[in-house]
Amino acid sequence: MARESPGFPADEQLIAAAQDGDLDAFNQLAERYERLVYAVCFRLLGNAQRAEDVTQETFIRAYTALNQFRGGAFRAWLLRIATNQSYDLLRLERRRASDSLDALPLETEPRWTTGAPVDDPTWYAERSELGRRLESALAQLPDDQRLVVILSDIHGYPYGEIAEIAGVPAGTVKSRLSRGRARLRDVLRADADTRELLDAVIRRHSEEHDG
Amino acid sequence: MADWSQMADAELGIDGEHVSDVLLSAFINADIGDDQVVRAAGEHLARCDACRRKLHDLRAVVSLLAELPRPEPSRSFRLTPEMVPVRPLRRDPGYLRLQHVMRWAAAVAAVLLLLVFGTDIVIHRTGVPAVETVSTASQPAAMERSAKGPATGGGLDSESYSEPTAGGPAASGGGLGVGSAGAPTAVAPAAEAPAAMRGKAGNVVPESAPGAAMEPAPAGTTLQAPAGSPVPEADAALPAIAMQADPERGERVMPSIWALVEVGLALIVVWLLVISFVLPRLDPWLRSRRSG
Repeated sequence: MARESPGFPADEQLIAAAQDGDLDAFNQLAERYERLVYAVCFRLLGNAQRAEDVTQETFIRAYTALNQFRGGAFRAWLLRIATNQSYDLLRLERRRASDSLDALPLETEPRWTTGAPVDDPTWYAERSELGRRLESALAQLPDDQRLVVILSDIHGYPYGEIAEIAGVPAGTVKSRLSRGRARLRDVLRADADTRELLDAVIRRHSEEHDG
Repeated sequence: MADWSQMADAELGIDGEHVSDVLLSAFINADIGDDQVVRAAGEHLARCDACRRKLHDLRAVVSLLAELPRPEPSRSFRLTPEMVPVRPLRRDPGYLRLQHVMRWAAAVAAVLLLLVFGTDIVIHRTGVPAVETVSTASQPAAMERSAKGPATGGGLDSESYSEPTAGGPAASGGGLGVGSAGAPTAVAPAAEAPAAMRGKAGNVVPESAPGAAMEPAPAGTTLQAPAGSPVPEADAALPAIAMQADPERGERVMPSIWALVEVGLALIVVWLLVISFVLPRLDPWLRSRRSG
């Protein structure tokens, strides 16, 4: 992320400026990372409105704590703040939910960026449906496994960075990832319709591999 | 990095058990370092439908996860000044915040060093140890005493010296008036004679000795002074004040303590100067290093 050019200052430069109180510099960083932070928060929280609130809070916290940033990957540092904020909110909601059922979060849908258009509408529809079911299976994962699956398999981060964000050793990341994946698979397999969709996808995969 | 293969060894069944989730996961990521484990897992997968199906499922899950659409926020999260505290984010390092204090401290320490050093020279380098500490405030009194003491004590206090004193302005300059001290002492021998000829010191009042006027001292000692033995480096002799001392006492121990204090003060001065002048100049560089 640290390509240096006049129009695209490196994170480090912006951080240094922001540490000296330059809010504009910090806002450049915010624009750089807000979609990422939002996406992670959304998948952790499963709620668009809350994800926005936590994202905003994350940037405020990051700005006020910027003098504690000791170099390294800004992205990981930021996501760690976002993750902790999300966990706090989840804990709070669960405590409230156990007090009163009315307090359960209202599901809100975010806008979605869809991938490139596909030439096969049926295939696309099937995958999209399976994606939605996978999304809901993901929401059922324990928080620590969900975080690792999001960062590794949705965003494609290396173990080292995930370890930094989650604050656990890389070995723990790996075992959480394997348990998370296995659990997702079990959830998808448990439902007959979903199982069918999954089998269709796998057939398609092996055809692609063979062809 | 934790070792997949270690986990795998523990979790991969050897005799007909299935491949563990951890190993399957590692398989998908092509993240098994140990070739033996890879081979063993591969052999197992080749003959175990359940494990193979699971591996395919997991592959599908991982590829589906990668293709999930990205949720897009409906707004920007730019911070406005109202959202954030007004105070500067980074507290300046201590050496910047306390710069004023440090500069004053440096000045005070430097003055102290000069005082101590000056006093040291007066006492030791001139070969005349003193028990009386000289301070600007006590000078007139000291002058009185130097003038009257010998007069009243007379020859009884034979061991006490009374240096020719550069009176008035030079003396009031305190220990710092080093530069102005040369002239009076230079005149000392000349002024000495008439003073000594007058015999008694008692009749000389301090006010009558401005500038180079000399305080006469008891005859015995003052006559020696011009001869040069106790005050050979009279040029260094500063606004010397009346001193009384036992020449024997303290000569051995005192210099080392003085030297110690001087070195200590000098170090403090240097340290304070570095903190208050050098570090602030280096600050931008230090910061860029820290954040870089």
